[in-house]
Amino acid sequence: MQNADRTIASPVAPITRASRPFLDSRHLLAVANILVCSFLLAPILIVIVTSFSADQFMQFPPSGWSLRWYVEFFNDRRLMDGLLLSLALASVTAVVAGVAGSLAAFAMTRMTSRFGGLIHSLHTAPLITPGVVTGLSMLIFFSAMGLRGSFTALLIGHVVLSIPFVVIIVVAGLQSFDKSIEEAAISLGASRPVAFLTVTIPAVKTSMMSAAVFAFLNSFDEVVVTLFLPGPRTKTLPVAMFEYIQHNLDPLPAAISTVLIAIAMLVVFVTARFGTIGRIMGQRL
Amino acid sequence: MAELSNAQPSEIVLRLAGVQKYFGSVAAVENVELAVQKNQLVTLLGPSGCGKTTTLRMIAGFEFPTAGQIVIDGKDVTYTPPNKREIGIVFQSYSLFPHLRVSDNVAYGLKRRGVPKEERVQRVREALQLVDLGQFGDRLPNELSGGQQQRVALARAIVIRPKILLLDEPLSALDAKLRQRMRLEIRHLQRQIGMTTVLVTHDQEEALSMSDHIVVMNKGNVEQEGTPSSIYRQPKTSFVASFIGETNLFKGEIVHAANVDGLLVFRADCGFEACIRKADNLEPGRQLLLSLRPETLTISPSQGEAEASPNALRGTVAGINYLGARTVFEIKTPTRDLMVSVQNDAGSEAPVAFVEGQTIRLSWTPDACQIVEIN
Repeated sequence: MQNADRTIASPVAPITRASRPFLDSRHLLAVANILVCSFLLAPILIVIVTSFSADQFMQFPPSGWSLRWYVEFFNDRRLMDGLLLSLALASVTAVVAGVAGSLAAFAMTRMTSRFGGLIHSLHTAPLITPGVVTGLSMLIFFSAMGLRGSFTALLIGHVVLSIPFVVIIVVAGLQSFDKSIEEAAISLGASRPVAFLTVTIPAVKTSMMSAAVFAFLNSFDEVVVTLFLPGPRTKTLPVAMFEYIQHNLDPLPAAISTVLIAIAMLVVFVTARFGTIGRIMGQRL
Repeated sequence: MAELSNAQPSEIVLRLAGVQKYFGSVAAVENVELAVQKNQLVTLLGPSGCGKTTTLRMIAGFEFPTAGQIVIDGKDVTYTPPNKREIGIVFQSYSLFPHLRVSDNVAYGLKRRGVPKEERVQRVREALQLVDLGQFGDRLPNELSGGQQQRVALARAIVIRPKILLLDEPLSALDAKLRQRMRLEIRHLQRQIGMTTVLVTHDQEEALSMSDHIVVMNKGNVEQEGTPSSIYRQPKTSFVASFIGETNLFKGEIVHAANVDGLLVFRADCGFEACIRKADNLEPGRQLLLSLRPETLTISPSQGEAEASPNALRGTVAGINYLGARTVFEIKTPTRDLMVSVQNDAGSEAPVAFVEGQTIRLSWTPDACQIVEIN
């Protein structure tokens, strides 16, 4: 039997609000966050503000306001062709890279080969390869193939650049997918293909959608590799804009940029309606 | 299967004959013989890595045996794919389809079987009512608690009226209170609908409370099988004795000295002697183990005189653990420590009878002595 002596008072003073330092880690975090957000958002805000300029030249802040540069943009035949090409290219890229990348992700999460890690690295290699190197290699390759300057060459290039995003996102989704769910379906009478279509695909549908959106956005603003594949039918909007800037100093590119931002946000928010915004923005819903 | 209570010849639904499974050169299952009778609940019990889960996966068809035969309902299904076996399975992680509502989860197996819509709706409703989730058909799995998800998984498995229901550690993800309730519920349901069931678990309490028949597995082999009480009361090996329940094991040998009552004498290496009941395999001279369950030992104040009588030991109380319904004493003897469990009387303060450091006498009856093989 223990005889606890409870008469000894606690020597530790209670922690009060006042004893906290004036500038603790939470304040520092807040300051750091505000700074980072400013650095991220300020350039975009400047571009958007400039796009509504009435000036003849790009300057900040603008001396007057107008929508003339938007009018100019929508009336420019070459730029509008670029916009349509970009939208078409990004859409096809999203579908092709989404399907191919997802299939690769399925294979990678299921294979038992000891080369699995290597194969995964190869699929994400375009992410770390310098853009100019990829561009040059594609230029040489497509010239040899006789495909230089074609839509096909552009599509293949963009698909290659987008597949890493798809693979990373879908592999992450599949890793959190419990394989016994598929086994449950099989034990209930489904064949492997039926279980895959009715259970596995729906369960990772969200990651696949997010992956396709990323592929779309990645293709939509691709410049470096596209510049290496010049041709009459390869002038995407970013490339057309890049060329425009080399000869003109008016605020038209700011208007184009604002439209690009608007389209990107539209794509993200439309897919958000299908419940994918959480994954895209890396948040939990 | 000799110990089965009802002697009437029952139909064997599942039989495993000489089943082996090797992954490369590693044996997950070395040799398993198993016969499961209709409407019985048979448990494969063992520590992780004993081969119980691999055995279950072979019964389900997710793994094919390296050698041996699996027969369900008289049909050889050794290499039949899992979707053709008519088996219901409940996984540890529930494995509900996250994108389907509860009723569609339950209906999944019926759809695959082409059951017409009206019958399907009817059977889903019945299955959900059976597991007490009649109101939850429209929910998504993630809107349910763990216990409710477990019941949906159960409904989904039984609605297809499988020949065998397989339960793979079905309760291990639940908290202790819920686990106890689910044990009773599953057992009740299994009896009510008469479902041949194979349960895999590492939890000996779960096995003892739910099973008709327990198969204790160790290192890919069947160590012992029998009814829960026979497994608990007559363990044949030290592995079974120490894995199921708690026990005090003493190394020693039989010394040939049967006395008037037909008792043999076992001499423990640590010095004391115990009178034990005669049995066939107890020839003198063999190294064996004596198992004494903590609840079969009687604790009494030491009289101080020489206590060299058999079936008794002297020791001191080293620890007292009051557990409500019973008290577990840790007793120190000159050679080793052992555990004694004493049922507490309602209304009396049992542990007060002994204090730490007190010298006491431990005694037991010949029936308490169980001789087990060393392994």
